[in-house]
Amino acid sequence: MADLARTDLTTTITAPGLTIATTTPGRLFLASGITIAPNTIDAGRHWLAPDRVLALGEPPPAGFVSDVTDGFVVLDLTGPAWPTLLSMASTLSPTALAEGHCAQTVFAGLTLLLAAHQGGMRIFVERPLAAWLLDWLTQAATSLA
Amino acid sequence: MRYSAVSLLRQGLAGQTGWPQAWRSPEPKKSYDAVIVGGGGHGLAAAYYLACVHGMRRVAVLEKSWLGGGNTGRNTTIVRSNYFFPESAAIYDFALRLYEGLSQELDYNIMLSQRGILMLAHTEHDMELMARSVNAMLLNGIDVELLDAKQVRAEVPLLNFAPDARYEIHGGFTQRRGGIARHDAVAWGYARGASGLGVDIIQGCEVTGFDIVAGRVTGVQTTRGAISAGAIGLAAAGHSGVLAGMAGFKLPIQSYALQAMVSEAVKPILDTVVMSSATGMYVSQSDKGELVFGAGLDLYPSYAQRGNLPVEREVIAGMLEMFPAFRRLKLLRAWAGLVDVCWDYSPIIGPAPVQGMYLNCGWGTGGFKAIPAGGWMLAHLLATGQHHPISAPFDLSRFETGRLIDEAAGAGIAH
Amino acid sequence: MKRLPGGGRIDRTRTLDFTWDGRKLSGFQGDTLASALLANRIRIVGRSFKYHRPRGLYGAWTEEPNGIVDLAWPDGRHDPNARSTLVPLEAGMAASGVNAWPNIRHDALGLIDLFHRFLPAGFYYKTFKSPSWETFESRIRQMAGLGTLRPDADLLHYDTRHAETDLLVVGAGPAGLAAARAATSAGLRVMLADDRAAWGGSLLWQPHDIDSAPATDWVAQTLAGLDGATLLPRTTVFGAYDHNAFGLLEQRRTAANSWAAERVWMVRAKHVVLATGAIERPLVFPGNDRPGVMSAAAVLQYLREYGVCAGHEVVVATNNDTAYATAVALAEAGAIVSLADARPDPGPVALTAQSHGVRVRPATIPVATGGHHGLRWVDLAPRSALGTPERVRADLLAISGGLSPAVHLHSQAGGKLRWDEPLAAFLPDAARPGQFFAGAITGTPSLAAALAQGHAAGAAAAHALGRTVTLAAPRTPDAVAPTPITPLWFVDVPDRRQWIDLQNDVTLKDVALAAQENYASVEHLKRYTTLGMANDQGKTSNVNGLAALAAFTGRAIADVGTTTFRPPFIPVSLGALAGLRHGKLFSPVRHLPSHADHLANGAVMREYGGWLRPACYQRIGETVADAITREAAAARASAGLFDGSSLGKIEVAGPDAAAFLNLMYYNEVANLKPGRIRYCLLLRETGVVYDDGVVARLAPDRYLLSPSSSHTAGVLAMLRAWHQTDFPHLKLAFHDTTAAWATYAVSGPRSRDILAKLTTDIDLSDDALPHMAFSEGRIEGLPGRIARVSFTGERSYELTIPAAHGPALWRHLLALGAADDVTLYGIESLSVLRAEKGFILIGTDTDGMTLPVDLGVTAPLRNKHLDFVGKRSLLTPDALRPDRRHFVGLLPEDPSFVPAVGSHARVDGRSHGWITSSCHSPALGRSIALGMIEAGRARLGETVEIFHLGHISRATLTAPCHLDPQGARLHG
Repeated sequence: MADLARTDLTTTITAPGLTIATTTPGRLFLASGITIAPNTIDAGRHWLAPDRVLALGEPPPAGFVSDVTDGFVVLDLTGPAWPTLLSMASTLSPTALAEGHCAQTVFAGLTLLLAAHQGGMRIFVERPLAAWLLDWLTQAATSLA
Repeated sequence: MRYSAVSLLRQGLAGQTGWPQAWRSPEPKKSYDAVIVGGGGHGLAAAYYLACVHGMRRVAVLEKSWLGGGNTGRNTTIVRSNYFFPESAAIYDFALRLYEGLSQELDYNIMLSQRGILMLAHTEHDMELMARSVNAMLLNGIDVELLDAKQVRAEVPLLNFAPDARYEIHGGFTQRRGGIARHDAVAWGYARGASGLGVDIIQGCEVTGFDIVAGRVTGVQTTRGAISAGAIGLAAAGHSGVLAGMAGFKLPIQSYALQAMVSEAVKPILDTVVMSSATGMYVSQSDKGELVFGAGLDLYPSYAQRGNLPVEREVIAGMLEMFPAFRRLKLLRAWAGLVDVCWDYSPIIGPAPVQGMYLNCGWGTGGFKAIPAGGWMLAHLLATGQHHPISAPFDLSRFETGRLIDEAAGAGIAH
Repeated sequence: MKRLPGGGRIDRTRTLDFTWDGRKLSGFQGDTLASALLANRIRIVGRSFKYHRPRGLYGAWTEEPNGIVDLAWPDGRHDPNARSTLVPLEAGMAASGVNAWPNIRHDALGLIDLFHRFLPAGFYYKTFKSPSWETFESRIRQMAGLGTLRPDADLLHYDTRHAETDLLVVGAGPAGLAAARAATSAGLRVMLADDRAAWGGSLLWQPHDIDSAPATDWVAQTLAGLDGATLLPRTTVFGAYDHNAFGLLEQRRTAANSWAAERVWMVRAKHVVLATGAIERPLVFPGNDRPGVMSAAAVLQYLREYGVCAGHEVVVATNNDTAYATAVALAEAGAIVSLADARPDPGPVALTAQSHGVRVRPATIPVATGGHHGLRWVDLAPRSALGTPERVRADLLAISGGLSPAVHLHSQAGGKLRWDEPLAAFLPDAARPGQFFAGAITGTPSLAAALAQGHAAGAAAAHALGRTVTLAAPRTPDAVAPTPITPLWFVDVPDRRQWIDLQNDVTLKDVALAAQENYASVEHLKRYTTLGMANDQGKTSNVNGLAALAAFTGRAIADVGTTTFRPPFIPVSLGALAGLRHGKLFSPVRHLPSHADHLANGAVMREYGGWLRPACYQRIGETVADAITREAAAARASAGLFDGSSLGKIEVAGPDAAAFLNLMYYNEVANLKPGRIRYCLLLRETGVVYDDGVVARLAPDRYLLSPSSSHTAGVLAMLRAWHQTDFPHLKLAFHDTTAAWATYAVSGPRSRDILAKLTTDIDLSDDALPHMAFSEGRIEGLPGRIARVSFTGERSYELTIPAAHGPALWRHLLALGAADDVTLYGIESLSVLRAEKGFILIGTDTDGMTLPVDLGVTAPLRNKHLDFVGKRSLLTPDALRPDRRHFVGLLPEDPSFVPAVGSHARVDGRSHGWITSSCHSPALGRSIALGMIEAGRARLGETVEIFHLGHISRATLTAPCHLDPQGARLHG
């Protein structure tokens, strides 16, 4: 049997007050038929719609579940300047990403999922768009100098 | 008084005291043979042609605000007739030919500048669609030329041919008879012509209802009193749905704000009109030196004649992608018109579901270039009760038969 | 004119050298270009647009109409139309006048002014008709425009910020500061924006006491106390949009890393306080455009801000109290000042002025000015006896016609204005929801009132958000009530030009002409005379113009009204508005999982529907056309490998999945067996074919939809919209898993041999895996699917595995297939292969008009008895007419000639349709085409003329499938 190893995008962007790094926090599943409070993160489940979540970690035991682990590139933004970067990319207020909250929104012209993560911000971007988004983030981060 | 260099000379010496009114501001009469609702380019042109082609002078144009103040005064002044279908070619080229003689006809300089209109192609697929359009137009008798990238670059060297351009320019096509005209002058010229022939232009007169008896319209109620007329034409872009509602029927249109912008004026930098399918933008430089440009709709139905900043920024970004040199120019003014869009991007011309009432509406984003033809067709309907052969395909009934003149599809829009 | 030895907010220790029209001059840190020019006694800064009259500086800030210059910075930045009053002086700047030849001091085009009486407003509408406008156009265009744009691209990046806040305060003068102070004290999040670098607005130039301290101290303390507020100096709020959204332009202190000094903010505010102040308007009188005639408020600013005294022998002409501060300040600076007040009894201000040595002449107005290349004298006359003027020597005439509240933002967002007769000003009528006004914008004359209004506005915003303000309003000693203004809209002397719009050269006579010719509405006035349409946006001309129009048309000013104010408040550079959207970052593009491999394999990448995909894999020495032919031939001869990862993969699951999909699709999908695949069309309500693709049934309650790459998002949106709005009772859900999987197609006679070498638990026999079926299992240990579906007409297998493993599988398949001559093929090659088979490409062979009947797919309409999206539209008269365009094949008469896509079939002089696809067919060794031809299916065998840009060829109509119509190769 051939060893078909993974090819993953790994990169880090640093700027004063901000670090952007790819991360692999676990497996990802789209799950329908699950209802949680809108725009919240509940035990790794990120609200997407009234009856749909993106579950991080373990797949929900029942219901309509699709493994989309390879469908996303996950970026963690840390450092005091992450709200500034958010304000460059999106109309979403940083207050919407208080601990335990997430939001789908338009960011740098892409529709994607943002989530609060350990005082910073986590981006779930669809894999095919990750390279372009990283170019955008690289350019935007240079304004923080 | 005829306008001319001689009259300018004379009046210059006379301290300008002899210039007469460009149009009268009469009190509305109690009745007319025909009433046109909407004092924009189409309505005023219709009145003019009613008077001078059909000899009907007991005509009134009712304008709720100031004449020419709707879309005629808000558009980006482009004229062209490079449309796909033979029916469209017939009406838009008829309009363009009328434009070509209009300054003389109206004795009013409408500043027609046939500097060409160039539409850009950004992929091989675009080029193929363009070839389809160009061939269609040539077979319809419209003079257009397909250009490759090198030829486009020679026409407009300022375009973005840099290697890091987001949208490569593969070529394009041009209609050399296309260009721009001064929009206010078109309205004012028709108004002066019509008023001079006896048409009453009643400004500040809003239609508030229609008098309809047994399915036939007999008059209008307005903020300046009741007026009876046996023939009523509706030419109020942005308001067609509201008027139709007053008359008890619906139109298959949606109304949106369409933004337009001007930059500050600079010395001549752009000598042709350029449109890009990738970003949807169109730009020209007015004779005053300002860049006049726009692109797509603010895509939420609205009757407010203003759009919002995010769309404005997108329009500007799209234009700068084609013309990076314009980045340092400043935006001077942004505004919007109110466009009535039909599914097939073609107008609605013809009898309304109410007898005696005739429609000239649904021109969407393309009404200015068609003013002379729209007016001509509406005049014909008002005078004879029948379609002119050129307007017949645009009848409202096409939405029942399915026989659309789908210019959106013709342009390659996927719908 | 001179620089004073002391005073002003400039740093006299830091000298900055610059050039003006080639001359070396210098100024100080803190100067604007304008103040530096004034300090250097430059009297002429420009030429007017139409008559090329010399113009000097009139104003000191955004209202300036004349000082528009060409400006180059040492770092290569350039602005063709810089407003010199707004540009901070920097070392190495090179500025010059515009719109003149050879230069603005001696402009040859100034001769035009001699002919001004033949060039009134709108003269160009009355002439230039013969032979045509174009005969004259290019010369006239040369004369139009101010500066000249340099075509080299601006290489800077422009920043953008979005923000939302509880309260946006526009203007940090006393009213705005009081509002911000009150609001922050109640815990509101406040953004405070002012277009100046220094805070305080009108407090900057006049001494006052607030809360028993000098105003400057109060300003500093207030700012320090604004807890948590976002302070935005040098920031202009340029636009007000729906729902309290605002556009702001921030001038940043430093530009670095190729980021521009301009940043656009988009702010959404729960509430806004408009404390934008008021703009002084000029008096209108004969000779009021002479260099040396300046705004009195501006003269005060030049004095206080920049330490520049704009004249030595000064006449101040006014009709209201505000100019007296200028008179007094000038006298204190050592100028000889006399003041003409149009009012017969100016009141207390006159006494104060006189005590400072200012000679005051009541009931007196200016009626003429004189001086070549700059003011030398002013004629003052009693208002009641205009014919007996007194000539006064003067090098500066500082004028004030009253204050026009800066109501622009209120009006932009749809707010209405009302004319206040006693104040002679347009004031905001009712506040729009979430908006408050404070300060001079309300017409209030006093500092005390401004502070009180500001405080009340901040408190009202806090109250609306459920908070209370306990802080007391700031206090200042009551001032004496001002003497009311006497409107003086123009001077009633015929035959002498009085200027209303300085930049566009619109005179009083032009307004009279417009009225006479019945361009009587204020919008007609503006457009006919171009009043207010120059790049000063009418700040000093609008009100004077419409007041004159009112007089000439016998109406009250209130009935004339104003034109609609439009954003932006000041001109904003297009680059700043475009922000980060430029170059490759303009819009996103998607990469395939194997993107890097494709590049390494020599792929020619092109964008298709938002994805970068290989068009073909061009080898050294071959053209793109050669590559396409080689790849297509190889796929039929041995095997080809294709990356289809961009195809959509929408999983649909639920007990009602089958029923719902049957409502959506044209074809019957409910009877599709698990494990099977069907090719289906998705229609719009208009019956038009929106997308094609395959539908696979995984289980009774589970489907996998495969829309085309460019339509995946649209199909998903369509399905969700129908489900939520029309069929919410149906139980099913949609997951877009497109990005999670990589899909590769192995196609051709050797495909089965290649797949046989894979380690998989999937049974690949034809019995277990026939054409149009799929199986799930493990491929080289990874979860995946293998489907037998073909777009090439050859036996084909589509392998799908998790996307991260895609590149490895791609390389593995290439290695496995090496012995079988596997060849990489791209989209263009695939297009040739499917064209040979007569398979449609949505958007190429179809367009926004194509119905299923046009494609010959009629069975569902006949046989599917259920309703489905678009069904009704397939039964209209137009859908049923026999002469619709049909999808057919074409064989050119000359087998070596490939007709261009977009060629038309010309019959009887008109178009009967067009060619949608064409290529050289390697399989047939000749050219083939596909197209949409009127009644094509009834005309097979007919030969038609093919027209392309005037060139004629001939082709015969055939069935679309040119190769293997029985489909034997699928099983080969």
